Amino acid sequence: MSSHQVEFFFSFRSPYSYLAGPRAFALAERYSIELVFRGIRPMAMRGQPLPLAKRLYILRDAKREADRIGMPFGKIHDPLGEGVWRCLTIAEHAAKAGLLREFVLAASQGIWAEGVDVASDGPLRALCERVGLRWGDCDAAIANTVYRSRVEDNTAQLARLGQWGVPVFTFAGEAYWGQDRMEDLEAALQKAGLHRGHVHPELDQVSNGESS
Amino acid sequence: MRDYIQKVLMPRLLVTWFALRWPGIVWARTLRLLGLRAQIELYFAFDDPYSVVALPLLEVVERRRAELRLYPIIERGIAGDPALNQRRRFSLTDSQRLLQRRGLALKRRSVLSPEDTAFLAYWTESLRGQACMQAFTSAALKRLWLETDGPIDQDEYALLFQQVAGHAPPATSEVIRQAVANNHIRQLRKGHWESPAARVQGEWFFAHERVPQIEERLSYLGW
Repeated sequence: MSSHQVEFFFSFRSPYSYLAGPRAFALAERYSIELVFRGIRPMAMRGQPLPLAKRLYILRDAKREADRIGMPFGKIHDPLGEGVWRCLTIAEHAAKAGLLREFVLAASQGIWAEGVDVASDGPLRALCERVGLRWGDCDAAIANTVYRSRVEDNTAQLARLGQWGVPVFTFAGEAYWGQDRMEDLEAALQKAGLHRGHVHPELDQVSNGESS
Repeated sequence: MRDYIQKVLMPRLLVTWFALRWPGIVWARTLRLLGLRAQIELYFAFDDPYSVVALPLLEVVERRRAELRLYPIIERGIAGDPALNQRRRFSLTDSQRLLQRRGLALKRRSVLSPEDTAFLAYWTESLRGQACMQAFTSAALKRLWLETDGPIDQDEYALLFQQVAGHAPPATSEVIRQAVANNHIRQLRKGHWESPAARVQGEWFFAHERVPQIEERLSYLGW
């Protein structure tokens, strides 16, 4: 395990977190780092005002960005409320089971591109089983108070960093906010001599903004 | 039912609507037939470092022979936003990184208040309808963020105004104050709340981070 950590603050209700997901998890393959996933409560569940104009802008911009980086987007089922909590707690369990990446990517794609209602048992169970998680364990995770308090800790940690939105990455004491700021994070990782070489050339292209 | 509309129906309908390109293309073609150019409105605040990051938009405007309307604003953001101060502090770090991609650097290292730069918004507004409005905006933003640090010397900007506009800046009247306030009201009415925001043929973009996407929109609209 690398001594260099990159923290990845993520919300299942953030379309930009979804867009960052595949590239974020690929960072650990492309750089000698340990990617530390930190699931947080969404802005709307943290008392941050989200006026209609901003919600509309985010949807429009996320659609444009999804098209730019070639990710599916639009068949949405907003997980606000219990759906968010279910995904956050199952993500904690998935990390323990070694299936964090698989679950986070599948759940966020389910929410933002496949219309999966993660607040309902049936669709969420199908999603969990698809990535190799046992539903009984996931169901137990949803009620696990330790997982819930870990999410609260992550959310508090984001606030302590002076950050409010997601995705946020931290490396060497610096925070990088936005799926389109991974380019700056990668510049810092390269400067630190952590690049492993071109494991995924197609991801290198996207990260360097050459995909549009 | 209400939950379904809010969480499923509305977001899907909106994304489907946003993805439709033909209404914009037809409208743009009609405008071209009438001899009109692409319309871009840029709402920006002088106290926002992202405004100087957005300056490459001016090159796009020139390349695409678009018509740019500048709207200096003082008030901005979301009312009651608890993260307001964090956002403004972080905008310095983030702007620095965005500029670094282009080989530039912020010279100013501390946050400015809207009051610090309000006079620049008023002076810029006084140039409405004049060709030099864009030149003054660009020069003042560069001076403010790329070339100076510390307290703002108003006389220095008065000299800059004189050089660009050919006359001294006007005294700030109630009419000018109201015009600047109206710029933000106009922005809110059209659907945006922050700086620097560009409305490109009816579609909003954050101008400091979406200039290539703005140019792409102009391309597919035929400009």
